Amino acid sequence: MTFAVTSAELLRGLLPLDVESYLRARGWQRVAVQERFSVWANLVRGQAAEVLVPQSEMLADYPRRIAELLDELEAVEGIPQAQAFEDISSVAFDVYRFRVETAGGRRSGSLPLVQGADFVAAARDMLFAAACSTVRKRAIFSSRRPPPAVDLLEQALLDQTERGSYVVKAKVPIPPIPDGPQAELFPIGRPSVPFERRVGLTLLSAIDGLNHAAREAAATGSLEPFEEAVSVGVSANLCQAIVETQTHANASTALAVSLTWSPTLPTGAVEQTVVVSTEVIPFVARAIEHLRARAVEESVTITGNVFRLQRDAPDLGSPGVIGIAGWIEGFPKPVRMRVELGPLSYAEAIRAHLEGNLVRVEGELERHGTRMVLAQARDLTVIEAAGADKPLLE
Amino acid sequence: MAPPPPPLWAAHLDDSDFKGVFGERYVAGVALAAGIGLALGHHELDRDGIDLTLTGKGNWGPLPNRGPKLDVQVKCTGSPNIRNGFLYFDLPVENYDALRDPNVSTPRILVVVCVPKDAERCLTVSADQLIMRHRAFWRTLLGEPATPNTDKIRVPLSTSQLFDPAAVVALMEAPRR
Repeated sequence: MTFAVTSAELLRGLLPLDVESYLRARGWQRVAVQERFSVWANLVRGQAAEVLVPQSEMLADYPRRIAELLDELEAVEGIPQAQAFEDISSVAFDVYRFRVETAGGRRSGSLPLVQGADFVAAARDMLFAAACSTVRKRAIFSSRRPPPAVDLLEQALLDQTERGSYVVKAKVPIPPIPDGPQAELFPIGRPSVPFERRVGLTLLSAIDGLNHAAREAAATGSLEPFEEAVSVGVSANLCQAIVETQTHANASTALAVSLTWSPTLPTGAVEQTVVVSTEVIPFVARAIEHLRARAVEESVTITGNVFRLQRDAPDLGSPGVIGIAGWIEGFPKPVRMRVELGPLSYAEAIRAHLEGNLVRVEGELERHGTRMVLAQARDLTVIEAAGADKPLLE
Repeated sequence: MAPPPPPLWAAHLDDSDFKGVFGERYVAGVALAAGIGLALGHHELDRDGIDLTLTGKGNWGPLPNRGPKLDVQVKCTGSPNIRNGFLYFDLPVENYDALRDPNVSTPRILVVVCVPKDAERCLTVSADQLIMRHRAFWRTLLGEPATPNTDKIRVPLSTSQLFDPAAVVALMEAPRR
């Protein structure tokens, strides 16, 4: 028998549902349910095996039964108890492992404290960047972060670090996908892949895209491939975080990111890994500023008055450009920005200007040098000037 | 005449330790002698109060009796207090409370092994036999009332409930919840 978990407190921490999810993912089937336990069976290497899972972690003998279950898994499937314990603990999570080689090689397992603290922060930033890009692809996320990404970061857990290189381990809870009658409670069109899982997929595709962009940049001398890679989740934020994992590292250190998918939401592959090699890092560092220069903020809504009207073609069916002076929520000062509008919205803007009313329009804030532009403008509405909260600007 | 040499184990165990180990081995021996596939589990869990778990392997019948389990708390005494068909044993209150707790998934029993006062006589080995002395009795404490005692409680075990292979089989075959 390998290392055995003997702490009743630790064993009681493996919840019945997690144990059952783990067994189910490994091909075990529930063959009976009694008031206080269920019986699970499997055929392993031609041998029939059974384990008992108590139905409540509050039973007095729960730790003992779980210890026996770990014993049986080790005997039947050859899974070391420590590994089974960790796997069951993480069954409802996607597990992220961010790994760098330590200066002392694999035998060291330690990082200088300063580097270690920076590495944990960089891992957090990589996860957050991927979460933001999952909500909406952007070259940079600065002051306004998507609420789903903020929520995910608050749910993520920092797990025990692992030896063998230096590994920062984080876990993101994955909500189970309901089936059977429960599935009917959810509205039509609900995504089959939860946001939390898509964040992991985005992180892997972004790092792949970043590697590809770096190779293209090396071949062409242009950083534009990084702009194209925004569509697969690359952002200045992700680039910054990756560069910071190398701040104190020696020249031979690479960054590896592995994802172990929660078995409660099978993907086909149990684990996937992407590597950022050291040759890529200089291009990633240069891409940060390049992407920042193409900064596109989150959607904003500006309310103000129209101070400029410009249309190249005189016919009423042509689009136009307006200048708005007004306020964006969350911005401390009034702004002026250029907005391209379709024919109908442009006509509304003309009417608002002539009648002295305000307009409110939503779009993507872009900075072109010192000029602010509202791209992809939509939902323009006219507001009576008497209802304005802010003073008008000329 | 010179006194007999001390037993070999005395160099490594005190009397209490020896009885504790011997008692568990006695119970294990009886359970194995039941002649049916039994696995003995021994987990050193904190403050669990259980010394052994008997698990039925193979076909013990239809559910809920498939793979039955029985948790056993083993005690040992070299001075059994037997009167009027009962063995009276002073059980620590924490063991009593653990054994009477109904909030379990597996039945629990108390087994008290009666051994010779002279520990050397616990086990005799010869060319054709091994003898473990003397006998053990069992009972369940499920549902017993709480006690105001803080140290020990005197528990009666009927001498009609001998812990032998037949008793093991009957306990394992009893319907579970």
